[in-house]
Amino acid sequence: MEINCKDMATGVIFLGFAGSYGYMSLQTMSVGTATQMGPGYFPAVLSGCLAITGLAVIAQSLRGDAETPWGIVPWRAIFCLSAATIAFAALADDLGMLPATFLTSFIACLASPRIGIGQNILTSLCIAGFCSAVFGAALGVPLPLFGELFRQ
Amino acid sequence: MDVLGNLALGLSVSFQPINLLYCFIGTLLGTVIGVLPGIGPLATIAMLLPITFGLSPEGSLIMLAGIYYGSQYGGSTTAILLKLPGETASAVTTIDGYQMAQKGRAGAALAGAAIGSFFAGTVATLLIALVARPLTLLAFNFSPAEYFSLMVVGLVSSIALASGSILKALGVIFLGLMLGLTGTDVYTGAARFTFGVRELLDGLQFVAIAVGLFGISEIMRNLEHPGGAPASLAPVGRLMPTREEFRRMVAPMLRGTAIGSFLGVLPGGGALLSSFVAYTVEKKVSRHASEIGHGAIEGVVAPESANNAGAQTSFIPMLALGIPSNVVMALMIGALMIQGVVPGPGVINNNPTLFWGLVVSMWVGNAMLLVLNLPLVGLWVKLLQIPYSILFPVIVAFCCIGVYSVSNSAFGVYQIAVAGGLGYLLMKLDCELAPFILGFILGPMIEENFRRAMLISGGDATVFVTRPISAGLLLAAAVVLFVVMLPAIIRKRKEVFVEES
Repeated sequence: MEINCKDMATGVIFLGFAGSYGYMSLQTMSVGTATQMGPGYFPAVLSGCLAITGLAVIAQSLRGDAETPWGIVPWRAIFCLSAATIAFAALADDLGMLPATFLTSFIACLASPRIGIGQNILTSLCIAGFCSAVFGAALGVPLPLFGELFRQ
Repeated sequence: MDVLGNLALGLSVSFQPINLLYCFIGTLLGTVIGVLPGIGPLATIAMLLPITFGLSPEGSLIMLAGIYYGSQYGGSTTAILLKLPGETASAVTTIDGYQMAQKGRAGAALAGAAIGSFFAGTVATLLIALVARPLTLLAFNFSPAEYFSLMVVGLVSSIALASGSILKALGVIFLGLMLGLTGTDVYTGAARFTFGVRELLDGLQFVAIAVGLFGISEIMRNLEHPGGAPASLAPVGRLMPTREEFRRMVAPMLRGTAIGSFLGVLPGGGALLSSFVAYTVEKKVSRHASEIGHGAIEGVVAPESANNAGAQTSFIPMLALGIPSNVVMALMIGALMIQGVVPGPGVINNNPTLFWGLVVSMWVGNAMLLVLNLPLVGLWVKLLQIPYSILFPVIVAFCCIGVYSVSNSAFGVYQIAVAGGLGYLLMKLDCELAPFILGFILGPMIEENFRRAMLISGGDATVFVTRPISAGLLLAAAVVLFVVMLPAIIRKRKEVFVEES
């Protein structure tokens, strides 16, 4: 039997969320009654709906409708872009806007194999300078240009 | 107060030099970013949202509205010149717009789109001024049950517009609703789904989620095929339409405006549906119907007028009822709430300057687009040639700093990464992201109204079908759902018949 893997995966994800969130709503929160609903009531209902939808999607997947191809998965881009945002989150307060933006842009550029190291550094420097000027000086985002780490 | 008095108040607000400036900056930035290939209005607004936080509520909404129109118009520009719709709403514009560009009439197509949009914007502004007040009066009769049902209609309609599987869209909505509940429960103060993280008590950050879903995951998708030859640009040519073209623009402009104004008000409607319907109608009724699809100006003007009218009248449910009828409005509501304004029927009475200022500034924004976009078309063409390898790190940097500035903390920036990954995964699995974000913003609202309705009725769930307005709304939702399912049902039955014979 042909199985539509995309639908199957979607259904499993739905079920996973429904299961974990449903469990949390029922176990860690008070559900209350229909008149006096507790914090867990509505999420529990939603989990139920999501679970039913998930099952329906899985059932659909077993019918094996034609699947659109997966295409390329750009692991490098996914990794680098996530790393770039996480780096900013982790380091912005310590490094300050200019170095953190440079680093973020640098890591983001690594996502594309077509950007050489020279172009990367140049682009990132420009972006860091531009962002610091626009967000720091003009818009007054309260993130110092250089953070704690540089102020000894 | 009469309509004229209200408009006068609105004029006085939107013609304050500072608000004019915000409107100008908004339309300019919106166009600049909207014109960049692969960035639609959603990503544009999500990205630029943080820069409006420092402004007054009026200023920030005026600027956001400007960004919205600007990015939409930018999308039309790429649609005409590159055959690349920057957003779904201008997808139909590519058909005739690009054909016109091939014939050397790109300038006329751009001008037609701008003039049509301006006309539609003017009509829609007047319509909002006329309809908003009666609608808010109606809204004061709404009990929580009606609000709940109305939001159900909105969510169901967002399924209708989702391409692909209805079931998946439904699941994505539930997912969005559930994740939207993260944080402190307003009634009991209990922490929900926070996993012991103190920062999550305030809920997931809306801007971070939006930026991750529509900004970062979009970059991931674009980088599936790094490189790609730079797109070939059609020459713009003479901007001014000929007298003949002007004459042919009038009727489609009127029809497009009427269709767009009507469809925009419907929950889930807005710009996208409007432009498709307007194009289809034009194909049926136009005197030059045979030319449509081969570079007829009607095929550009009608959908562009409709999509602008729809974009604008979709503000009506948002302003009058506090309910977003589409994802862009969901972002606007997010912005309002960050400004400390509770969206809903109260806005028109409590913040009349905000309300009428926004309404009039829509018109001002459209006028600015007309005088801004056409003369600057050469600049937009230049922008189209910026390589993506420079563009995407800029977007990433903007997103990070922007989200940081929302709450002056790095915590939201982590959420971008998670939302980006989740968004990309869902995209790969052929799930639509728009219903997700609509569910996400509606989650807390729909729960609150559900709980209040049930509290008032004493736990009797039939309250939703015994109150006439609520019953009517739910019926409408059911009809929409049924109609959406219909083609699928028909197709299934066909398959069955084929197998039998």
